[in-house]
Amino acid sequence: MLRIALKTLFGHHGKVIGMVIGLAVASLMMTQQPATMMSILGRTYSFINDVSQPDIWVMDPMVQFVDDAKPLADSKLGLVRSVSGVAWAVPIFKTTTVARLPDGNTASGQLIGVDDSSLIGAPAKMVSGLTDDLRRTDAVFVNDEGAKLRFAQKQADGTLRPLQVGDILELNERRAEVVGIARTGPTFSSQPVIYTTYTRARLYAPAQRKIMSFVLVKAKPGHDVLELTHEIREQTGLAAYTAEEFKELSLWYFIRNTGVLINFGMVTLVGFIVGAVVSGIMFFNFTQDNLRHFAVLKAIGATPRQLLGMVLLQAAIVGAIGYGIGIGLASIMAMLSSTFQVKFTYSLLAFSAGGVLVICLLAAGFSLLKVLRLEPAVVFKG
Amino acid sequence: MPTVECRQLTKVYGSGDTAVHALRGVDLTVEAGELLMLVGPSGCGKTTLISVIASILDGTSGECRVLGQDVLTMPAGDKPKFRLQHLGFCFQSFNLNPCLSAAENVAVPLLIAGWKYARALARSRELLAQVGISEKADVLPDQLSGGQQQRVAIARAFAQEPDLIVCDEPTSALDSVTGEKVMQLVREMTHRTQRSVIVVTHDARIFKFADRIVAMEDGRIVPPKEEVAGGFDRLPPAYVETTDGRGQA
Ligand SMILES: Nc1ncnc2c1ncn2[C@@H]1O[C@H](COP(=O)(O)OP(=O)(O)OP(=O)(O)O)[C@@H](O)[C@H]1O
Ligand SMILES: [Mg+2]
Repeated sequence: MLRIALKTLFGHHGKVIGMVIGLAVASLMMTQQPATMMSILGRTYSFINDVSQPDIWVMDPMVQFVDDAKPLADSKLGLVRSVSGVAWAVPIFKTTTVARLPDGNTASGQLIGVDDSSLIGAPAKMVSGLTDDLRRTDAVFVNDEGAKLRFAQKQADGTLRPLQVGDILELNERRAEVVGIARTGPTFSSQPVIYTTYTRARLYAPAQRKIMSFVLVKAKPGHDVLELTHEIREQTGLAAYTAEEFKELSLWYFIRNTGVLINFGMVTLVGFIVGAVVSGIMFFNFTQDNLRHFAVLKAIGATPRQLLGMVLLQAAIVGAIGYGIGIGLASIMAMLSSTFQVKFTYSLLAFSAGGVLVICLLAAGFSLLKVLRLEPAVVFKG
Repeated sequence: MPTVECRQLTKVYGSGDTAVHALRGVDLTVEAGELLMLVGPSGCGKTTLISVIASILDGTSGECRVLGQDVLTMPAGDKPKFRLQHLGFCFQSFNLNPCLSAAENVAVPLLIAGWKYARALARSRELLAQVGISEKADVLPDQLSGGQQQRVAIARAFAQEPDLIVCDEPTSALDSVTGEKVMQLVREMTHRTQRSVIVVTHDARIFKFADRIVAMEDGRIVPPKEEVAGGFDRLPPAYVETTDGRGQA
């Protein structure tokens, strides 16, 4: 029976191609658009990912997202450290600055100052140089994306030379020597990131009275992290989030305050609707064209279950082919585009598979209504 | 036990002002092994009658026993299996699936019955040999002539070895020579296997293949004399001579 269903399906290759294209477009858009959106939104909290060691981020209660640091007085650090359950607490500084490049050009970037003694918050992955090099005089790290793009320098022959270890930058009229290139997550604004120590960052940043952006906290082993955030909040009056909470806070800030979700959501929805309409109608037409043959099957003695199996199989096959092609196209597009590092997570693939499944079930459902209600007596009608 | 026994069978399409009384109390018996032809003017209810007998259409009242079971009271859920086991169909327009080869079309009832594909196809080839077109087993229907297509359809009707085969104007889409050959085949297949066949037809040239001919008019079976008087002047001698309802052709 299922073989008959398949042969009948592929006997109508025109319609099959139409349905498959519809579903491929739908699954392409339902995969590629959310993936792009996730990658853009993921940049909003890449800094939190990069600074991987702390369990808890402590900050001014008014902070809405990770780039919205509101300076804290240095005295708050001691306050946080005094909360029982805190294993360690270190300051981190995050601001924007303007760097003068070796060729005399200037470019803005993010400046991160990490705790002088522990270097907690310094990048974990170095492309060149060692983390400890940050302790040297005037030492800074630059992230590799920044080194290659905005901080690259035009040479006499017109080619770009990435910033390298040994190059000298000028930050706030002070000398800064690049001692390492670090690999960090892509930032939302694609700004270069400069890492240095907390003390030196104070000199490199435009004069400010308070510079501590966040206090990074590690819970004592065995101490519940979530509970510790409550304790810190209560005892210091500051806001304290687990890394996950802080990521979510930043993410939702962007979702609420930009059109990202709406824009990508709309395109995703349009993809779904177009796919559903095109392949749904084609599938329905296909069933309609074969109604007489379904009636013959019914007359001969096919049960509703057998007919159900046939229609579902037909829908599943076009669904699977369309989905496969859609995902394939999405992967090719992702490989060709260098702008966004798009990741197809399992949940994303499941999302678009779910979308295709809904389309197929809708199409099969309408067709089945038609087939199951069909009077077998029509077989004798001209 | 007769294969078919209808008593005061009626069928009303629709209701109220638009109701169509297609069958108005049909009494009909079809014996086992009999090839019965059903004739009558257009719209008299022939197709309706065989549809009810074949249990693909619900009758309205009366009784219609097929192999001892009243199809009017049979639960709807039991009908597919009943048809699969006991009935075969043959249509004016053949109703072959154009995407399937001749052999696969013949195999359809077997596949519905749950046969494995390979076994069903092997059996289909045997059936195609019986209807004389074994060499066309792997050909798609649209590459076959009308007569060949009807042979495929006949092989399909006989595939499940049904007890009763209903044919609605099986020859009207065929030229007369082909039509006769096809009926010859139906006749042979029937007599070889002691099956009952009901053939609805307008085609006087094939009357000679009937064991008995029954005429309908306006939703009723009409008595033989009237029937002959009604203009079926080319009825075969077998029919005319029949007194006990059985022909001798
Ligand atoms: N589905 C239906 N709904 C309503 N009326 C119907 C339906 N099918 C048939 N009829 C009516 O029932 C009557 C008998 O129809 P039926 O098709 O059984 O006649 P027939 O003898 O097979 O005619 P023909 O020789 O033209 O095929 C006709 O008046 C027809 O219009
Ligand atoms: Mg008819």
